[in-house]
Amino acid sequence: MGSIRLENLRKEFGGGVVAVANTNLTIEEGEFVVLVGPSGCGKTTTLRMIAGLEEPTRGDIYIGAVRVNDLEPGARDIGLVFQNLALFPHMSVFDNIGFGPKMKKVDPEERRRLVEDVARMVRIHPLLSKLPGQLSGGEAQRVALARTLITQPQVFLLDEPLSNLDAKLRKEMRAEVDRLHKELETTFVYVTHDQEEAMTLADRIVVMRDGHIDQVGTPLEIYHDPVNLFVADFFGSPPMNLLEGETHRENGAPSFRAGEFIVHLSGSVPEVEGPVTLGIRPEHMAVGDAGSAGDKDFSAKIVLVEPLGKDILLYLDYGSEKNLIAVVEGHRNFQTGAAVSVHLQQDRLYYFGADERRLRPAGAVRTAS
Amino acid sequence: MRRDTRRKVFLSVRHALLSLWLLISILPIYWMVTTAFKLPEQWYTWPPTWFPSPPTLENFYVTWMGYQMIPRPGVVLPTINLDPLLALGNSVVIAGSATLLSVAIGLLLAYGVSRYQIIPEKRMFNLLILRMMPPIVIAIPLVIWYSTLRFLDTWHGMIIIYTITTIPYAAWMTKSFIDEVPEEMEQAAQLLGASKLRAFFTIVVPLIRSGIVATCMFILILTWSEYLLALVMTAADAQTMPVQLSKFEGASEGRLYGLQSAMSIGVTIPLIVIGILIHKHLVRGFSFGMIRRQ
Repeated sequence: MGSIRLENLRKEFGGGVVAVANTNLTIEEGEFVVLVGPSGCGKTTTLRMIAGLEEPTRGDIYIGAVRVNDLEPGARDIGLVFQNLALFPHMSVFDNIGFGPKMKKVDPEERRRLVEDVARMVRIHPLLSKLPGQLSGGEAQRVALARTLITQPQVFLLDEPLSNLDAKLRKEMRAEVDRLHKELETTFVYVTHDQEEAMTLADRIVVMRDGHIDQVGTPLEIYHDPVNLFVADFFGSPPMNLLEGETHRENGAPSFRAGEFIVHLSGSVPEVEGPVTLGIRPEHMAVGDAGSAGDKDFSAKIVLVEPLGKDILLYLDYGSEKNLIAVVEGHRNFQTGAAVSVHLQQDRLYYFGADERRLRPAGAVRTAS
Repeated sequence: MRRDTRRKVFLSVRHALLSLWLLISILPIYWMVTTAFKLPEQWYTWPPTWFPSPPTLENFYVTWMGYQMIPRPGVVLPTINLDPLLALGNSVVIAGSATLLSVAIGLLLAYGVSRYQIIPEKRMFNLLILRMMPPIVIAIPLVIWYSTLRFLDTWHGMIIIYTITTIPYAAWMTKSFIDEVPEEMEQAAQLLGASKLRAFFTIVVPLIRSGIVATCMFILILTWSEYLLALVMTAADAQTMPVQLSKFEGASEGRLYGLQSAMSIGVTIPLIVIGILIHKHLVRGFSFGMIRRQ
């Protein structure tokens, strides 16, 4: 019932702006799918087309087995939580939540029961007589959820619902959304530009850029096996280190060079000569004292030490304009200005070609998918 | 201390200027009210009579209730023909209906422009340009038209012309209020099963209620006090108060200030009463920004 299928979906706005370009996507019933990407990537437009608030230029939208292109928003059996919540400011919380049943002509007695049930579910029962203007951000958020929940849609659409909340509340509400999804077992489509939200909530993530889908996969697939430079760079905090340079082979031994900087590569290296971008996540770098024994790929100088408690972020100057960021355990002691030796986990290196696509070693099997 | 002194000087200068302005604004009203209670001998005296002594209700009896003036030596009895109650009734019907119609049509127009661009927003300005034309330019052609249509000196004739000429204002004012209502609110209502019309009446209209009331008041003042078109397009049956007010001048009796003032008070009071009744809406409506963004 609650599956969604997008076929060759396209949206152009006036002036030839292509917001969404020929998108194909299938969302299974009960799945939690997060559309993620930078602003202007088409994720909200896609969501609004599913909701029926934008008309596609081309392509079909199916909810369940029904083609919904020609159905009014109210007839699609979906619920949408807006970014700005769009609570009705002149109605009490009770009337806001009860708006859907009222439109469906549910009798007042039954309506009261429904509102109270759903209010209890999102824990706003004591607030029913208040006006939206009297609520805190988190409370308003819960009211918006309740107003959508009460109509029991087969698909939930959420458009950056948490972006107006402060960090602590955002985490709390994130857990709340997760709990609701598990309780309701309906399809959730969630739009955000926050990669952390996408990673924690999604069954599957859809990464969008410039109206295109770059990659679809589980959070771990996206994180560990990005298909291109954009996806690799977008996920992860702190982000993946990216070094621009070239690969060379001397007597069969591959190396990576960026000006004076040289790293000898081992393990499987793609058979490419010429410009590449080398990627390594901060947690896949080992940092040791300059003189210490052990593996060493190159030396660097610490420019900045950022203790985060459990971890420490080290900003390393390796002779380029950009610094590398490495994550080390929080108990270790590092001084700004100290020289250190850096070791890269060779099997965790990513290679990207000039067209930003991931380069894979010959014969390599995609690891996670 | 110096800053404090400067502040005091600034405040007193400001108060002095405002007091002067208050005096300038209130003097004509004071003059109108006191003149309404003056005996004919005091209407033209120099130096002016600042306070009627003794105050009299004679002017009100004569204008509003059709009594004759008390004959006095040296005062020519006025022979003007007045029907203030008919005129008041005409004004209420014409200005009231035109206001409601104008705001209703203007509101729909504004909604169409704001949400569906039925007229491009840039062209909305053209609506106001219509109002920059001097009414006298259309007055004569209109009289010819209206006489063909037999609309002259009728309620519906006046209601139509007042509605048409005030729609631009109504549309402009209400549009600024509609623009403030986030479109998502209507979309949310639609997603919850409301039709577009239902969303308009249950979400948009209640949210801009104060704005609508303020617009009504503004249009009502315009139509209530309109003079030129009423003068050329009405004769006896549909004559409005502003036209009646201009009748207090005769060849033999001169200007009848006391009677005119007594009628002016009757013209002004309804608007003041309405203003007081809806003043809560006026403050909110004219200060805009009444919808709190979340």
